[in-house]
Amino acid sequence: MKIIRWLDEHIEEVLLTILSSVMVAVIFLQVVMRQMDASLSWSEELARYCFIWLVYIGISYGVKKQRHVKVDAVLLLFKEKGQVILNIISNLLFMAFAIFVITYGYDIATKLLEFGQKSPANQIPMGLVYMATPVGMGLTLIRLLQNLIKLIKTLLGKGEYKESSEADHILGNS
Amino acid sequence: MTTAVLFGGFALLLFLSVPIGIALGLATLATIMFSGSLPLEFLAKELVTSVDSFPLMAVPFFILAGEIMGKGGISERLFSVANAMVGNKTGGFAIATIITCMFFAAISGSGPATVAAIGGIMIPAMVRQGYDKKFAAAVVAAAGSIGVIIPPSIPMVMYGVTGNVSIGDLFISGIVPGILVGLAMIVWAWYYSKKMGYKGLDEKTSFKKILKASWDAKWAILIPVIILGGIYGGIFTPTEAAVVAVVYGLFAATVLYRELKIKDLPKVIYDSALTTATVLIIVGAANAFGRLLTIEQIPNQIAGWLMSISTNPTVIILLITVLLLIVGMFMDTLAAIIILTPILLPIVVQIGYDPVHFGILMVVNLAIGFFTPPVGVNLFVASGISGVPMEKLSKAVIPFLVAMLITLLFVTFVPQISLMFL
Repeated sequence: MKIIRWLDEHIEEVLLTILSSVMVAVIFLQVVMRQMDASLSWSEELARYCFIWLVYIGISYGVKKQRHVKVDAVLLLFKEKGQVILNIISNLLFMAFAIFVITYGYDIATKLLEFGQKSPANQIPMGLVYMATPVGMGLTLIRLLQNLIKLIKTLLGKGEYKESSEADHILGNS
Repeated sequence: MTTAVLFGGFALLLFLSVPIGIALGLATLATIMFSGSLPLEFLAKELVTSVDSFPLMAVPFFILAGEIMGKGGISERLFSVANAMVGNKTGGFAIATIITCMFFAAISGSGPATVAAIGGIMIPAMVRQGYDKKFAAAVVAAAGSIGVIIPPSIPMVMYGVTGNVSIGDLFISGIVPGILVGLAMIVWAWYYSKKMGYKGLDEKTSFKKILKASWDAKWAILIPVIILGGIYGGIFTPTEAAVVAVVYGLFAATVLYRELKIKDLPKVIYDSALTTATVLIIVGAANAFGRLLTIEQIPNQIAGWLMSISTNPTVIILLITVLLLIVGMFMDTLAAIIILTPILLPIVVQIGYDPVHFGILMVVNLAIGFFTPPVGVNLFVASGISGVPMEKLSKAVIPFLVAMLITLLFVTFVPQISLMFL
């Protein structure tokens, strides 16, 4: 259980930190090596694939932290309870999209793995690159479920779910 | 009918507060299911292929660089330089704040974050000097919008990638418009300060003082030189320049200024990655959305409709300006650029606008939305920092809004302002 709790709290943070660091290190190395007339052939491709994974893991983290970019102004039109209901609807719609991406993305990734297509520079199986969408959206689906439970509890008066805006995050209010 | 599903669905989803990227994805999904014009796999595949772009990677790196600089003690040092230059003049602190925002803009690429980084120091400083608090907050909220106009600029990277326009050309074309916006704001700040009798510091400025402050800020001042010099010197691409900015910023913040602790670094990194992901999901979904637009010939339809109102380029560009100003108020700048560029760019090219020039217009237009009442993000941030209520801040910011709109008109109708270095 301890492991699961730790994963729940930190999985995205750890993955995002690793992926970002690799991207920065590899591209910086690319710049330095080119100045020394020893251009790298593998660096850009590796960084791009890390970037794809970073985006889809980051989407899950964005749901956890409720930081996805929305038209905030709409929420201002509603009172607390209205906001919660609106959030439940938007959560369900997001879930529908996640399920679509998981199903089709997984399909594409496994097909690529079967074909055995490899990336040009690093010979990475392309299926692993395309796995970013089903895995990332899978994590996202879990986060959406967690949010949905919180929202329903709030609606029933047993929990607290606060909608926070972009400004709140910049000001560190969340 | 397909158009109705696509746009109607998108608008409805936005109204239901679905995140913009997901709303685009769902609207595209519904349209594909409705019209059968593309296989469903296409959308799933596009989510990967549209993110698989090296130029696009300048976005995460500039976001990370900006976060690092924001925490690295760089804004204080830039303010000292600006203050040494104009601190003793009438309205000196307000003018120094605007100049600092312009400096900071040359380092970071984001608006609201600039407001937070700079407002936290400058608003209290202005209030201590006897400035009215709502004016102080308004200065910061308005000047923060310059951040995306002066290069490097994340919205320009996004426009360059979406519209297939040189990012280097966009950066260099943003310099003069950015400075003009800053000057227009300085004019109002000076006039208001004069009227209200806001004096500057008693100390005299001297060349020696400016030199000393600049020396203290030398590591910060070097950043734009490295970024822009590197790009135009052909040493590196914009994406690589952004990485160099990250590494340099890390070095400056942790080793030279020692304001950022290593143990706080992971949080800075994953927070930036989060911001990146929330933007990039929009890119992922928008590419498929854009493909549908092309298949349905929607840009052509919109162009035809605009031309039916008027064939006069001036009228058309003004209509587009109004559209961008409204969108800028409600929608995140990057999201707006990703969605609107494929629709608007073909239209303005038809009426004779240069794609680089239009990129600058789009960014300036949307930047105005940062501090347009009642929903501009900068206003919320400045109000949060200063404690000035939104209604009062909204009023105080209006003259700055007018100053920026006037500048926008010049930038729109005098292309040379943007394109003089190309």
